[in-house]
Order: sequence, then C-alpha cells, then structure tokens
Amino acid sequence: MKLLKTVEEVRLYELTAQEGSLLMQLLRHFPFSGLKPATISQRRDEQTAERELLLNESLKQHREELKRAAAAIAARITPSRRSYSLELDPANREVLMQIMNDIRVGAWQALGEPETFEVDPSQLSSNEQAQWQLMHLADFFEVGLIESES
Amino acid sequence: MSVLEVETVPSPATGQETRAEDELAPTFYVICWNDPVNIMSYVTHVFMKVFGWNREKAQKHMMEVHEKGKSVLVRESAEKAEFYVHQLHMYKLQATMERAE
Repeated sequence: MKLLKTVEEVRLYELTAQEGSLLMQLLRHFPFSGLKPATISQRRDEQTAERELLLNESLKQHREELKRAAAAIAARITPSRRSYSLELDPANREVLMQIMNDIRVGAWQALGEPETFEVDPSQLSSNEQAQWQLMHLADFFEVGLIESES
Repeated sequence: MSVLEVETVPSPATGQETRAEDELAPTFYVICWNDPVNIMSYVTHVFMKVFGWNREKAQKHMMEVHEKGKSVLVRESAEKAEFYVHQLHMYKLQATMERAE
C-alpha cells in the first residue's frame, strides 16, 4: 500500500494486485465478528446501566454505518493494469482505519484476547489460524493508513 | 436583521443560581485503559482526532496508558464525558467515565 500523491487532503494510494484483492475481500465481508458488549463505567448502578444500554445501541448503529461504508470503499478500489488504486478523502481514511481496527480487535477477541502476540501459528487450530491471519492482514492496512497520516 | 441572525438576549441561564447549580453538578473523568491489541500509533491518532490534541499531548497520554495501565484524559460534565466515551469505543478503545469525587 503506497501513497502516491495528496491533492487537497485527498490521498491516492496504489495497491499491488494482491493487496487490492485482499482489501476488497476484507471490506466486502466486513464485519467478521459479533459485537462484544462494552462497559461504560466500573461503577454499577441504575444510571450506569442506562448509559451502557445507550452506548451499546450506539455502537450497534455505528457498526451498521461502518458496514455500509466498507461496501462503498470496496467499490472505489479501481483496477489498473497490474495494480489497484484507491482515492480517499480524510473522512473515508478515518472510516477505513476504524474498519481495519474493528477487524483486528474482533480477531483478537476471537483468539481469546491473548496478552502476547508471540505465538507459533503452527500450534493454532485452523479457525485460530484464520483469525490470526485476519488480524495481521487488517494490521497491515491499518498501519499503512496511519503512516500516511504522519 | 435577517432571520438567520440571532439577537443576543441576556439569558436567565447565566444567572448566579445556575452557576451554583453547575458547580454542584457531578463531573466525570474519562479514562482510557490499556489493552494488548490497539497499536500505539493508532491510540495516538485517536486521541488527536477525538480531543483535537496535538501529537505531543496525545502521545503523552498514550504512553501513560501503555506504561501505567490507564490515563485520565479529561474531566467533563456527564453529557460530555459520555460523548467522549462513545467516541473512544467507536474506535475500539477501552474507555470509561468515572465520577470525580
């Protein structure tokens, strides 16, 4: 994933054929995991319960928005001769970053929220290996986007 | 004056009683908790976006989360604290609002 140019905050990225294909797959199949209930406070009382309900409802809606955005971004990945290009304005970059991080965190949760990433993938079950690869794939695109921001 | 212009009228909401009420209203700390999954540069980016901080301030809080396990990001009214916690969760950061005693 290579940043080619920036024109008025719109960035044009070049993706290899493999990167373009993988990113499209990630976006078309998003989300890969269910939403884990979020905690709004360590305190447990009625008001916190109400706030937590609102938070989880809001996160559910946000997930739906990300899902729609993922499909829209996938449709913007344009094939060229041997590569793909993707043009993203700041809002779309932000959304894509959130989608990639959502995938990473979801895969990490599916792996049982390990404290360390020093794992021998050959020791994992086939499902765990798939989650492991998903996590690293999303990480690749997320880091690419963050690096192009700084 | 056009219909879009708003006439400034002294509001009773700026009176002394309301100020006293505001002072009594509970405030909340917005706390971000460490996790092993979110990468440091991502956390810094999120703090810059959500709070409008410069990179230096965002990195300082990110390092605090990383090294001490948590960082108190802001102290705000319930409404604003809730808003920030929602934003941080949308970015998949673990954040809570805790009443400031």
